[in-house]
Amino acid sequence: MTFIDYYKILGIDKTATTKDVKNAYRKLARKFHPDLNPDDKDAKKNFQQINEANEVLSDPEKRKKYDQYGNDWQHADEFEKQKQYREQSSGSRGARSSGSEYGEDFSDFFESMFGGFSGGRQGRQMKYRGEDYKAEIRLELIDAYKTHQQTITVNGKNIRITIPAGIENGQTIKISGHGSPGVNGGPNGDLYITFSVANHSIFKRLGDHLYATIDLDLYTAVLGGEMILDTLDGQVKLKVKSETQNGSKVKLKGKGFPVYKRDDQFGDLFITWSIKIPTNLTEKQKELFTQLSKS
Amino acid sequence: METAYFIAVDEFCTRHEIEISLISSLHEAGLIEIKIIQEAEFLNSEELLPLERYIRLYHELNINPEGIDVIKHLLNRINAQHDQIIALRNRLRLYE
Repeated sequence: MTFIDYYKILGIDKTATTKDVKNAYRKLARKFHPDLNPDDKDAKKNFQQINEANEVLSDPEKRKKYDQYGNDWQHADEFEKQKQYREQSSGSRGARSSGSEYGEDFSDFFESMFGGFSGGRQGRQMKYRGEDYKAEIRLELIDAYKTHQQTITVNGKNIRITIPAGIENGQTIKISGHGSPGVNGGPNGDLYITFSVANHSIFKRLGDHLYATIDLDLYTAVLGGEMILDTLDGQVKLKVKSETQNGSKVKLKGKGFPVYKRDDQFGDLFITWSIKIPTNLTEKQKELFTQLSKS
Repeated sequence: METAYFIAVDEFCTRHEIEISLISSLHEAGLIEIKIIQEAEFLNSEELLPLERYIRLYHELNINPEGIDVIKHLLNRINAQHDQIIALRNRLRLYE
């Protein structure tokens, strides 16, 4: 556990007045408040630090103790015993501060000097929602193709969730009430799960449509025919028109990706033909091609 | 389909220990909707999350309802840009 310089955190001198502390806190709080910096862990950490610094320096009693014992916090116990004795004598107890939803996590240093809660601040006892949790789930494209259930562990608790088909890479879904417990009887926070969908298939996905480039032998391209294509939904038989050109495209309607939360709706699959010229031709085959070129 | 619940404004204010005038100010600034049912004012449960955020901004940062409205628009714009970045990244993966 290391000493924390609260004056440095707020960017003020030791001679700063209570008004200076308040102004410095307000200025930094506006910069780092988590409501203004969603999903920014650094801002949240900074906000907790300045909240803690303000908690100490805006309270004359705590500030006095901090100034007296700050650098030598290990000896603060003696001070604490005297304080407790004084409090017992007068019959007064400090009340837990409502604090901020985001400022409740105090450092070990703070806990060591002042205990686990703030004792001096008066004011509203706000009921706060618990903090939201964030998690990430990695899926393969094929997993995102079908609605399925998955069990995840959040803070030691197993939660079974249904992942709807068609979930997008980077998409976030909310599981209500599975975040941190509320403060002062407030409701629980929510759990936000962001999906990272990896794609190791031959298909490129754009929205609900799939794209693939498929090799086609020269003879089928010229004469036409049929071929079996592996899609995410199994095999499909595909008719190839005669005289198919290299780079030409065909659309397989409804063979793309499922539309998110729209039952039985699918995007399309676009195939781009890549015609392969035969290699290692025999003399006979070359002769036939020559005849063809002259015909 | 999610069901919407309504919470009485005075009940919300009592539980959160805030003045009803703050709710009125936020309503006047267009930040929240108030529903009148049999002459009593109610909040839609879906508005609780943003409303609690507005109350924090008001009390913890001394930001008035007009300032909160500006912040709301800027945050919405940031979120929209964030979604656009994700969509563009996914599109970029087509060419990688």
